[in-house]
Amino acid sequence: MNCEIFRKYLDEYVRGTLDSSLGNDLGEHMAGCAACRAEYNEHNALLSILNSKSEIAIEPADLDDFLPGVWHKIEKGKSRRRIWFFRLVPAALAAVLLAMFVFRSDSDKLVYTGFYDAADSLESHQTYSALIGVLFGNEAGQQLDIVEQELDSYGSFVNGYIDDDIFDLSLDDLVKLESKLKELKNNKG
Amino acid sequence: MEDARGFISGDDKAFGELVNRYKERIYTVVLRIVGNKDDAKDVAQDAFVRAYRNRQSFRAESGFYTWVYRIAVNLAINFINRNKERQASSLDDPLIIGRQQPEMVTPSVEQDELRRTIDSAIADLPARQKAVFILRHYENKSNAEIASMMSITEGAVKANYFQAIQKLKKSLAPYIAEGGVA
Repeated sequence: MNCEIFRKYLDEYVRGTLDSSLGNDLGEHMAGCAACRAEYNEHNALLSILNSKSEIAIEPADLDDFLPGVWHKIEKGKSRRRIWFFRLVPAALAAVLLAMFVFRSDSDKLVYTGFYDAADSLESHQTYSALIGVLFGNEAGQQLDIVEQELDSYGSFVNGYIDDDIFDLSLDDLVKLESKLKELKNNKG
Repeated sequence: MEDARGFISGDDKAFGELVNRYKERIYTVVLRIVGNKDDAKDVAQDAFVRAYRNRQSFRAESGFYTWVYRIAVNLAINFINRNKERQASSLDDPLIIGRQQPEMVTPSVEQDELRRTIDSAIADLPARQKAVFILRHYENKSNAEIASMMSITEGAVKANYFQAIQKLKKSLAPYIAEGGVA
């Protein structure tokens, strides 16, 4: 046991979730190390303070209209989707086309499916992940991870488990998507 | 489980039952992250809307609650990333209160000040650190659960949690000064 290991397990030790053998080791180390003892005191005090405000006060009336609100949003989304489809699809298709040229392989052969396949995919799935899948579906998973990490930074929630509706992307977001794809290409070299 | 199966097959009544069953728990975790009741309600509702629209993605084995919880946490993180200015103003009227002493009717000035300081310290954390900290400390989620929920590695969870703790220690230093092992 040394100070580095002590610090590694300090949080679990203070919370009391460490197994007894390791906990004993930490206790023995702390008995002989003033610096770690001070860290323990500080950490223990912090968690005690934070636990003093652990409860959330919820009034029953806060959520009385919760379900009706959910239904309202669902219905609103259905009508909004019909309107935005005709606005965003041209911009999204432009982004697909640009990305396909940007990520062309060295042999000039398109790595991704053809433009019309991409458009069909977009129309049928109408999801952001479908767009990403068309762009990067043939690449290794790592490429998709890079895209997700980069794009997550401006609030477009991209997760292989959840399909982010493309209609939640504003035109600004689509423009950002295009420039981010160019940047990724330049970084890829 | 029956309601979950009904939900998958398009039964709106089953979906409604699931919403009513889990709305408070989902709202609570979102409220901890976004810090404002109106926003939390909005985001929590959005989580259920997302679930409804993506019912084809739902795997009954994972549990409806777990699935919506994950959606809600990520929407909450996105929300605070997009609305950093509103995070600061929401602290003017803290609605997250501490544990009351039985004999007290109203909190003391010192307790109120401490709660505001804690709220402010947590609100000042970067979005990802804040979410990891809240999920770990207040929701008692494991590193593996948090990593899965937020689609990050366990190493990233530990790093974010460590950073959050360091920042909170600095913010709450005056209150930490007392107490501990001699």
